Amino acid sequence: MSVDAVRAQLDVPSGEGRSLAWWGIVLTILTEGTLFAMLLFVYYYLFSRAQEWPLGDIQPPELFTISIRTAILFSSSATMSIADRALRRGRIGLTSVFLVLTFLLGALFLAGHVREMLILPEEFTWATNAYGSLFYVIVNFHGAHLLVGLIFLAFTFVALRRGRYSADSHEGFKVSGMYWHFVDAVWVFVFPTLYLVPHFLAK
Amino acid sequence: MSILDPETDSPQQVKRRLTEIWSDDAGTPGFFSSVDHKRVGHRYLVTSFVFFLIGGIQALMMRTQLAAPNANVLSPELYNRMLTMHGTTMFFLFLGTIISAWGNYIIPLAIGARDMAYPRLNMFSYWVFLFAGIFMYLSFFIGQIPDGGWFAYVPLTTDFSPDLGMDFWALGVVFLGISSTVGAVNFIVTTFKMRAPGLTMSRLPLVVWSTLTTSFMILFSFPAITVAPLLMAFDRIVGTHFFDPELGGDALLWQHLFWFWGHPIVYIVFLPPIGWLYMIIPTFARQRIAGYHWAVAATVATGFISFGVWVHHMFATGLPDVTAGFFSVASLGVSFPTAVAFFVFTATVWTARRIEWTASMLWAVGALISFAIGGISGVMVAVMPFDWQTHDTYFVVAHLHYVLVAGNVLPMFAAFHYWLPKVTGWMLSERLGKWSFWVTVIGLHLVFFPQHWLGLVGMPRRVYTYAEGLGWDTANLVSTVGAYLFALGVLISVVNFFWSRHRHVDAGPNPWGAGTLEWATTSPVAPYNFAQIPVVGDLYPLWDDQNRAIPQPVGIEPEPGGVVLAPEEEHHETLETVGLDARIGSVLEMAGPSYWPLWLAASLFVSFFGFLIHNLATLTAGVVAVGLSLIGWHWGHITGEEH
Repeated sequence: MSVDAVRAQLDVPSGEGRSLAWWGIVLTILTEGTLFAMLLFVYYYLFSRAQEWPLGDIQPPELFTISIRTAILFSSSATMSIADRALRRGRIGLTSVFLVLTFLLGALFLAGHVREMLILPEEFTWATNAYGSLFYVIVNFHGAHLLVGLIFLAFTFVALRRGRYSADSHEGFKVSGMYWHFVDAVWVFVFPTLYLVPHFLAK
Repeated sequence: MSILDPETDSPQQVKRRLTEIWSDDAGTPGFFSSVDHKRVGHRYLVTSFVFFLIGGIQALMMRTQLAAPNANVLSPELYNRMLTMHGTTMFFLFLGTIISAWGNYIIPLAIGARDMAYPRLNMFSYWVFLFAGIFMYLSFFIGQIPDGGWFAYVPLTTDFSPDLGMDFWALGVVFLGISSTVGAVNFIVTTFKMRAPGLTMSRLPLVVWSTLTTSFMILFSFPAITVAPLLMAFDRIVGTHFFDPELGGDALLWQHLFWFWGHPIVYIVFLPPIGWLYMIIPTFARQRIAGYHWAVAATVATGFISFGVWVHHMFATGLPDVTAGFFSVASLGVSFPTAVAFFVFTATVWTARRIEWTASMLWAVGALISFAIGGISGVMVAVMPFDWQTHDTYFVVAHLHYVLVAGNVLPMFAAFHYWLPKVTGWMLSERLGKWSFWVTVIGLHLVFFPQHWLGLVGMPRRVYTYAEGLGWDTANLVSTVGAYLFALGVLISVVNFFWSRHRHVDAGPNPWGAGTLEWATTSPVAPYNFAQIPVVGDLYPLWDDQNRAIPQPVGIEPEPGGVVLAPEEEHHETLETVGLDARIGSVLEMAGPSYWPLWLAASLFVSFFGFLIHNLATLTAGVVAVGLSLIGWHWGHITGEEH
């Protein structure tokens, strides 16, 4: 272990810090989070200036399915946390199970997203009016991030099965978990904006 | 080995081993797979400067058209296109990238690191910059050049720019934003993690502080310049209605989004150049910077305040007075930290025993004095009634060019004279540098000073010509003559470069007797930067207590017992440090050469191009290629074959 040699050699204190990967993901989350904040700013800006909401004859979105999907997405954050704890205790098998579960819950949410896009009324598109533009762009932007998150999880699974992570070295695993939690956390803001505002703040 | 053992290895063997490890492959493969921060910085420098020249030619074309009333040099249509591309080229492709150029080259050296934290991401950031620049300039080949202004106000750019020009602009800007964002992440992590042991945050060179501040500003402001042009591209290409008031959109929304980025970016392109001056002026004053902590505080404060001033671009849009008042106060307030920076410079020079008036020092001081004029006119337009009077006139043109030319272009030349010997190993001619300085600076003031007056008497900006008999003729002619003089000054510097290269006066490691760490290694810099990891105990580690350069720098010859990190395998090894005080963390294996950054950037190019030409097949091919490149990039990490 050459770092011990370095420590013995130099008269500088040593310490433990965050990894490069941790810093990378935190900064990515900061800038991506700002990106979503910008999109939601656009939503509320146009909402605040509109005479009616939703615009035109568009019906507010249906709430039942989306509530279930929201519950599914949030529970995937819980399963990811369990996987992370399991890895820190060195239980690779349990980690795999909960990682797969996280992936499946995320995939289920995304499947619901695709279904929603397919069954939305034909006269309601992103070219209908600004309300339609906002809905489609923001919801698909989140969907795209979720897809990236799923790919991230798939990578992590392959790496886990190849023995890249253990109780002592689980930084990479933690980092993909952080991205997954971020995509879920964004939904905490996107869901009320796109689905609850047109119902409860309709004008 | 990680420690040099005099029993078994000589310094020469260590340096040979390090060269083997850190050198790129020879020839073309090495060119395309290199991830060396010095090559990244070098490429940024060349590309960025080429865009500076292109943008300058566009400015000359406009000034030629404006030399006399009712001139016919450029058609109104072509004038609009040149106006747009001048602003776009200068802001996006030059001002915003020259800071990455010096950042990439100098920062790892100034903090005693062997590379940036993410070397591959670093080269990726360059390739994206290059491809985004090419993307925007493809518009010249089909004659559909962007024509809606670099600020791209709607509805001019949504309803009245029917050709592909503004699509090139909008998608090109989104594309380029990727480069700036990943670059910013890289600078922050590099500053936090790659500093040499003992290089505490309070010994951090000010150029690193300013780039760190700038990088955080990029993280929070560039999302706006991603969202805004993307929504514009959607409006233009697929028919959404974000900016269309008839169907619930809003035209003013564009201005909010654009200026939420557009004002911080002014400070983003100005703080790092001030950081260069923070390095240059103490060297030639032979004096430690006065009020280091004040300079740090002023830099960080400017970063914060810059997010609260964007509405001062919109005083004439009829916003509520309270809103506008808040932004007016903030805009006045941002002059305070800038004034602190000036006091720091003044105090440093004031307390110096002797000042060396090298070309670099001339450019630096000339920059500060010229910048003060732009700062003062900035305070004037921050006052709302004054702004209403001068809004959209040449007064604003004069103000913004003073700030940007004196705040970025002149410091760039100071930095060329100061750091190019480190990059190339030879000195630039002092005499030609001084000639270039005087011609350029006189040109600068001739171009822009009369424009204040033109604005006050009512000449609107962004017009392709003006009528006779308005009393604007002489000032415009002077301005045009100044523009050519400025161009001549720049040309002298270009000649200086080639002539000095031919003359080849050897620079040696520390030609200026400077005190910071980038001068502790050879010129040009060895592939491994420092043969021995330096340990830092001072803001000016190369100066003795009389501010004289110590004769034997630390990074060139490894000493017995020095930490050299030259492993038997071909790994790029460096030391990772932690905490504000740069304690020793771990030995890090860094990513080596790779083609994936190039493939990923090229795939993004294909994707954006597919979007531009509305071709789903091309877009899909591009996105699939992006996915494959990402998998390829990370595959070695997943399988554990490389780190």
